[in-house]
Amino acid sequence: MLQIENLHKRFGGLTVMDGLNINVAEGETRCIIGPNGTGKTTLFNLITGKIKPDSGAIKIGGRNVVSRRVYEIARLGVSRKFQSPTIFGDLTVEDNLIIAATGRRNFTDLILSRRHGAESRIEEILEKLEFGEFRNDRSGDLSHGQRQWLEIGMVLLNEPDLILLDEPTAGMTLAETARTADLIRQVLHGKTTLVIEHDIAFVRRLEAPVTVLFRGKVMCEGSFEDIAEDEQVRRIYLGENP
Amino acid sequence: MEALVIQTLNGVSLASILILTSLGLAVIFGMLGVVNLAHGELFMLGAYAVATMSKLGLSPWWGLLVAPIVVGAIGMLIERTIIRRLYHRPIDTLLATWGVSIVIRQVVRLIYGTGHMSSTSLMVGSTTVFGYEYPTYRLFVILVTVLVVLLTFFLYFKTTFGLKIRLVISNRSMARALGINTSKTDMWAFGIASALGGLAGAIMSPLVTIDPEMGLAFLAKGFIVVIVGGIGSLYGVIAGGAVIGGGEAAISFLLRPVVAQIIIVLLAVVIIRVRPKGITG
Amino acid sequence: MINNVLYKQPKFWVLGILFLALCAFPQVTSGYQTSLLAKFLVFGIFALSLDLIWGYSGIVNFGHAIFFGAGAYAMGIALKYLPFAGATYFAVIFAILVPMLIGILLGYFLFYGRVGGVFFGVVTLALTGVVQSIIIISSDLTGGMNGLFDFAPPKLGIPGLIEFDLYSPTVAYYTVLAAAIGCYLLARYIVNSDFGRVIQAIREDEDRVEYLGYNVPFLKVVIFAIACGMAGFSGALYVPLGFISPDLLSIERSAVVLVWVAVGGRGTLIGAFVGTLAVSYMQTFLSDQFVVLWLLFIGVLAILVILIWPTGIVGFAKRYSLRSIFPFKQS
Ligand SMILES: Nc1ncnc2c1ncn2[C@@H]1O[C@H](COP(=O)(O)OP(=O)(O)OP(=O)(O)O)[C@@H](O)[C@H]1O
Ligand SMILES: [Mg+2]
Repeated sequence: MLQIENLHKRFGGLTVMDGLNINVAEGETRCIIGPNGTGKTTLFNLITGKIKPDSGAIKIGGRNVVSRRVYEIARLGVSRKFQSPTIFGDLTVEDNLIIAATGRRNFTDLILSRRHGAESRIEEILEKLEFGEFRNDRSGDLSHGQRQWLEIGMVLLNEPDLILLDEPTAGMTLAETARTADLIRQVLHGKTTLVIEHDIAFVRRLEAPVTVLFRGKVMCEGSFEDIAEDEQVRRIYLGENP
Repeated sequence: MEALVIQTLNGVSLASILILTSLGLAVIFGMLGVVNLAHGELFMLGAYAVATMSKLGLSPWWGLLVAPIVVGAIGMLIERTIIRRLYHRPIDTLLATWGVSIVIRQVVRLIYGTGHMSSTSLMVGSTTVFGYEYPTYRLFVILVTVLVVLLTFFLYFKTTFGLKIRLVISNRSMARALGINTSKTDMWAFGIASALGGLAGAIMSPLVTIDPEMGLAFLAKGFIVVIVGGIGSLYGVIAGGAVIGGGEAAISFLLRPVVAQIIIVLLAVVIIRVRPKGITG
Repeated sequence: MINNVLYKQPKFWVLGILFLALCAFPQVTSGYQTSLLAKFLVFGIFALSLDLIWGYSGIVNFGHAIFFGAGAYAMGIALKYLPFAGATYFAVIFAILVPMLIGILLGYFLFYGRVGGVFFGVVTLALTGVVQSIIIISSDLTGGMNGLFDFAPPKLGIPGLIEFDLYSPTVAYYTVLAAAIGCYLLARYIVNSDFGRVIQAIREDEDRVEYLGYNVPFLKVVIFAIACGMAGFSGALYVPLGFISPDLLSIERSAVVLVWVAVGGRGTLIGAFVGTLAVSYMQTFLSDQFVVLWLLFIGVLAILVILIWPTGIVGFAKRYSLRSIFPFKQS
């Protein structure tokens, strides 16, 4: 589904991607961890076309997308959740979901408000997130955790083939974190997903293969248990968050 | 050959004028993220300062001194009363400073009348450059621009105040954490930028018609210089001024000045499409 | 169903009475008052078009008068050069298409060049001067500084059968009223559609919208073109009510329309009409000799509205229990 080959990116003198190779199979959930400032968010910026790599290839479904614009890549089925919740705070919860659900429609559909059955999917998400009573509230007034969930809901409604989640539990309480992990496992089951996380408890709960990023390269890959055993990883990363 | 030398000098002097007028705009935008639509009126006030001095029977050179001080003070007042309430609301700032520009224009009309003021020449005569005669005052404008740009760069890169400003630009909350009174730096930066606008107006006063409308044309051009050069950078102003000023001089040589101005603005729009971050970006 | 709504919703009564009052207006007042209100309704349409881009899409246009003026000139020029009966209809279409085309060109260069937010406003400001100069120097076509006046009078109806002269205040008034209601409904439809939702999302965070798969510059060009066309249409309607001169494209007119929208309440549509009527009627109390003071007042008003009253009249009314009178949902 996603192949990243020999990716290089520098910001001035700072090398963030130094020959990165990652392969994510169709339907796989993959966790990406790494110390602060390793370039995890930058990796998402590269995949979504926000920034362009200096060299290397990013293939989505076999197609190299390096030269495509952000919205074109989104239309290929890449949907992204940002590190801090990024929703449209002045609009209602429902409007946020509608906008996400119609993202790949053409202009005629937009102006005629033709949703091609998106309504039922929106209802489904509202129910799953237990957002029914807030549907007409200003989304900016939701709590931090709710905004994170709303954004996850938007990502799902966007009909993605590849989902990128950047720290979906950042700033959440323990209970919220647990619920998010269950939610992701449940609703994202069978969808190709990349999750960036710092929270080790969450990573364990996700039961997904883990890729450790360090200094612009993949340091190691494996199950959570393998990674937790790895001496090197413990030193650079887990040591910081025991 | 003569045409070439004269045209080149015209280009350089036009570019200087543009750089002088745009510098303040770029400083305010780079530092505060504010687009000051009243900058043209600050420029206009600078020109009126010179005209007022000569009307009072004083040497117009006093105007060159008074303009930056008075206009700088007005700028600080605007920052204190209006701009500072609107940081983080860039589009609203635009409208509010637009309101300020209208107010300044109308107040000037009320005080000085709607007509134009007679401008006084600060220097007459011409100087020989590469064997050709060129108005001395235009050479003076070029010289002043070079000095002002050097001074601004010095202030920005070599003084503690400049260091504070650069710190605030790169990370406002960090600057605050380090004990910098950012509200005060904002005020002074706005004041200095306004003073630059006033000085530009004063220096330009002998070369233009001084009337309440004069700021508009300069504002529009100033912004085009800033955008074409690369938003928010001091080097961008110089590059933008050079391109727009040089371009205008070159086109004016071939076509009517009005047509040249139209072409320049349309050209700027095209440049923006091709190089969205400006020619230095 | 309609009946049900009428009984249950007092706001429909209010609207109904307002509508009847507007219809009866020419019957009970002088021709002067009628053309005055017609003119203000034209300005209301102009303001409405600005609210579509400013209030809903966050595109601030400091040169919106360009499109109003372009519409008026296009109308006048078409009336002058199309000698056949029924030319008015073509002239109006022309008056919509020309500003639209200018808007598309401008939008293409700026939105695709990622010049958004404040810098869009600045470039439109710079363009005002340019367009005014173009009109002044192409005096063969536009009449230059003197303005354009030697065109055939605009007429509506069916040529040869029944014709209405738009120079009659009553005809102009009813035409403008119908146009205002039509434009309002069109704008309401647009902002309530999914397209309208996306436009508002773009106002908040256009990068985020792009990640959802929307071609943001394209959508901005579309809404901008619609607004420019509507502004041009209002310019066309202005032709029988005023003079076509370069003054129509002035910086002042662009400033005043921003103030109308801000005073009425941005992002409310109806606020465009409320603000326009409130400020314009205020202006009629000041005699023409006080132009300087009037503009001073407009400047102060712009500052004050932004600083202390950003929601405008309609926002204020909505907040304080007048909800039922303004039957429109906040954006
Ligand atoms: N557009 C940019 N220009 C310059 N430097 C950048 C840019 N984006 C990111 N960086 C730098 O690249 C490095 C990697 O940043 P990135 O945000 O990808 O880290 P991260 O792994 O997501 O960290 P965190 O865990 O804190 O979210 C950082 O040092 C950052 O300052
Ligand atoms: Mg990150």
